[in-house]
Amino acid sequence: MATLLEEVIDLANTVTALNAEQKERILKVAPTLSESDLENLKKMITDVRDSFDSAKHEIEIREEVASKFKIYTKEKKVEELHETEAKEQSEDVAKAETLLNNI
Amino acid sequence: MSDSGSPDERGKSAAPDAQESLKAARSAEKINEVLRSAQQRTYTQEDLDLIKEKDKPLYDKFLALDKGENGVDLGQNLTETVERLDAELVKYENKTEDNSGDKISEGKEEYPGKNDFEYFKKRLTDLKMSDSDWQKMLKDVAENGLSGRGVIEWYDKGNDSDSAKAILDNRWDTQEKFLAGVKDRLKNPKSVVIKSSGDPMTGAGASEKTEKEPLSKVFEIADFALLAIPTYLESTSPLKEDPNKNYDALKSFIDSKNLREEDWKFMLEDVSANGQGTETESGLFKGFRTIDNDDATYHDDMIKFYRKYPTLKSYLEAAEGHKVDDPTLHDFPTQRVVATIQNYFPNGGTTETYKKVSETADTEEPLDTIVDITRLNINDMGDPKEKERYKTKFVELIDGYLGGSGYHRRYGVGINEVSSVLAPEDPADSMDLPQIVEEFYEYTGDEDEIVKNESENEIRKFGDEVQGIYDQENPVAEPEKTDDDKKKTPHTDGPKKPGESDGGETYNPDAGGSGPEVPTEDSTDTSTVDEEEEFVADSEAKKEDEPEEKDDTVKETGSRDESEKAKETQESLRSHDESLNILNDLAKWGFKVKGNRNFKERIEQNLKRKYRREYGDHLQVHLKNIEVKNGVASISFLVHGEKDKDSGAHTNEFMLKGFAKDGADKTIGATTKIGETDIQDSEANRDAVKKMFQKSVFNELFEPLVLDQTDIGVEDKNSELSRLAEYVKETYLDSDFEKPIDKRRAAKYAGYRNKIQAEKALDANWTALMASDVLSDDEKTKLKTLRNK
Repeated sequence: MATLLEEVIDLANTVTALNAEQKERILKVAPTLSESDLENLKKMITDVRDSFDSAKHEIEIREEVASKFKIYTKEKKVEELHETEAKEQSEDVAKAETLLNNI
Repeated sequence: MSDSGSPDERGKSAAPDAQESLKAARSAEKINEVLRSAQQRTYTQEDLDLIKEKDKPLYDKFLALDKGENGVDLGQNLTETVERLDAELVKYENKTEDNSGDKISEGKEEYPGKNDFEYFKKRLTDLKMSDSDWQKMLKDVAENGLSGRGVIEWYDKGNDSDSAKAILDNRWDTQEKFLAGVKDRLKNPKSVVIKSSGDPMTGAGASEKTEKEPLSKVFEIADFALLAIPTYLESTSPLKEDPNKNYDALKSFIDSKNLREEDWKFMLEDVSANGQGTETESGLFKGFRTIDNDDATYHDDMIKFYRKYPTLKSYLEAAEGHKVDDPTLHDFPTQRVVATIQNYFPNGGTTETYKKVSETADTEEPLDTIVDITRLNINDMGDPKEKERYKTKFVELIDGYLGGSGYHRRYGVGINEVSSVLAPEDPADSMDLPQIVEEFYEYTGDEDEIVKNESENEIRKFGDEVQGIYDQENPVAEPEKTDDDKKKTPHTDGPKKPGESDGGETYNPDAGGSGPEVPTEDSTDTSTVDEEEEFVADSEAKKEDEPEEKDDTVKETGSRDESEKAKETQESLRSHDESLNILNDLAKWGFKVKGNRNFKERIEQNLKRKYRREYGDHLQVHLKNIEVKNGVASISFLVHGEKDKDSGAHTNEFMLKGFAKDGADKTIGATTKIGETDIQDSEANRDAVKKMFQKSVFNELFEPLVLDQTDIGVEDKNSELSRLAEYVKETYLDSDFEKPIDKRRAAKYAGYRNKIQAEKALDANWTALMASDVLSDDEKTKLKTLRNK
């Protein structure tokens, strides 16, 4: 069973929001801490992780919305273009038929 | 179209970009940047409708994001969480270093909370150094060091310069950048190369290794800023010259003013009691409001300040002690003190102040008069707003009249005294404030006339000339002296009849056509032959003094209109002369009358006001006679209803008497002379009238106009000389000549209202004083020399 110190170190290594230097400082200072300080440090690292995950989640959704919106917009424009083309084609046909009828 | 694919597929193709961004972020700051960037993208309602139409679940997720006004800013939340972790790490690291015996500030002065960034930040911010000074300091210290200036002995020049250079190298050219940089360095110590040269002879054991910069190094830079800034400010900055921010400059400033302890005391007493005036007022404190607009706060502060530093010495000692911990005197009271001193003593020393005081000394008499005659009770006024308005107005009048506040106390009349007048303890002392204000204006107007005394004398001379002509052309103006006339003179139960010729000085306002018109038989009969003869004789005497050719000139040009105008002029002047005669009479019997103009009118107005207040407007009051005889001042007046004005019916005559000679008997007697058909002739009515006048009318009529009734008779005269002797010994003979404060106090101790009154008494009794034995011959000689007599 992992000790509290090991849990803290493992946790620090897995949190993406911490940069290498921060992780190094944690690794350096953690062995000198008391159990209560370790508990406190663990909690703070966990908070960072949770905050990161929340931010990450928002980023992912926004990125997804942004990318899909780009596609949706493009699709919409294509559809509108098709409609316009069809309409113009229809008008041209009608005009041609009118001319033919008048001959 | 054909290349777009399905939305799901395209969504998957976009996701790797986000993942790449996250992977690249690697730290909270980077993640936050990505998040902020993502949040920059906004959508119109049409856009959102499109997303909703295409992908309802995604749309719902997007709307549920915890961001913005109603939720948590996840980016900010992440940043703060990481910062808290960083701060905690720093704390743990410091604890570790301390435990290991690595004293960061070893050999240096320590301060509470050392190596605590937040504390450091606060201390630095509190120093309030401008960024321009910051840059200037860094360049200067980097080049010259601090110890070269001898200001930080324990800091060697090299460390100072290195620290300053390090800050400049990091481009921390503002304190904000500096703080941010230090904070970052504490979080992320930079790598430094540690070299060991090994054996000095062989070089064996030489090594080179890379380590993290110890936090102590970072704090060494922080320490530099924290300790160098105030020292630098104190020693080199332009602020060195600012007495508000530098002890030496403050002391130099005060020294340059040659202030004495009594100046300090005077200044603080005066300002704490009377304030500093307004921008619109003249005087010493003009413009002081630019420093503090809140008078009340200012007064309170100054009073507290005065209690804390009662002497100039104590203030300077406190400042000197304070600078040890606070070299810029940031938390020490300097600004108001410096500004106040500058206002009081703009050219240094006490001369200027007392010169100004003496320049305004002439204004004392009107103020005293106004304060004394102001027997008003504003509490009787119904409307609180109106009451407050009048009160404010009155104080402003007094304040403004003196040419700025602050001097009242110098004249023995402070704001508190004015306030006591505004709300007297005895309601009987009350007067209508509007009337007081009106009288105040009248009085100040009179003072202006006095200033124009020369031209006034010219007018009077002309008036006398015209009167001579008029008297010649209108002999009927001369009253006939008959025994019947004397018998018709109304009499009272008082000691003497008005106008009775028994050697006393009398005045009858109806004599000679001046004074209020009283259409009663009694009143018209009160003209006395003796008085008229006196007046005519006086006029004749004046005429004799005038060049005769002027009479001829007036005779040649005199028309009826001109004669009437001249008559009006003469009547006005005569009224004035009569007032002066009354004053002279009162003065002979020891009544020192304050204010020498409109005396008669003022008494009559007071009388009317008082009577109407008690009995209503339907009654008319006319001053009839004023008599001063054997130390008794009496006033007789007539009261009648409006409808009885012409008939003379229902006319009451009252006489009030003030006994001045005998100090034990200063009560006022009120006697009545009742008209023949007087419906008010009842004992109860007389008692009521008597009671009313006993208490209030004399106070209103006499007391405001009489300064002192005690200096009567030989015994009192000697007392006066004794008081004067006491005064001159304290001031002229035993002290420096130029000691106005001492004069003021000496005057008070001697029993005078203030030094002005004492000086006037000295002038008035100069001959008697020189002839008396209350002073030695040497003292008299010295006094003569000092007063240039």
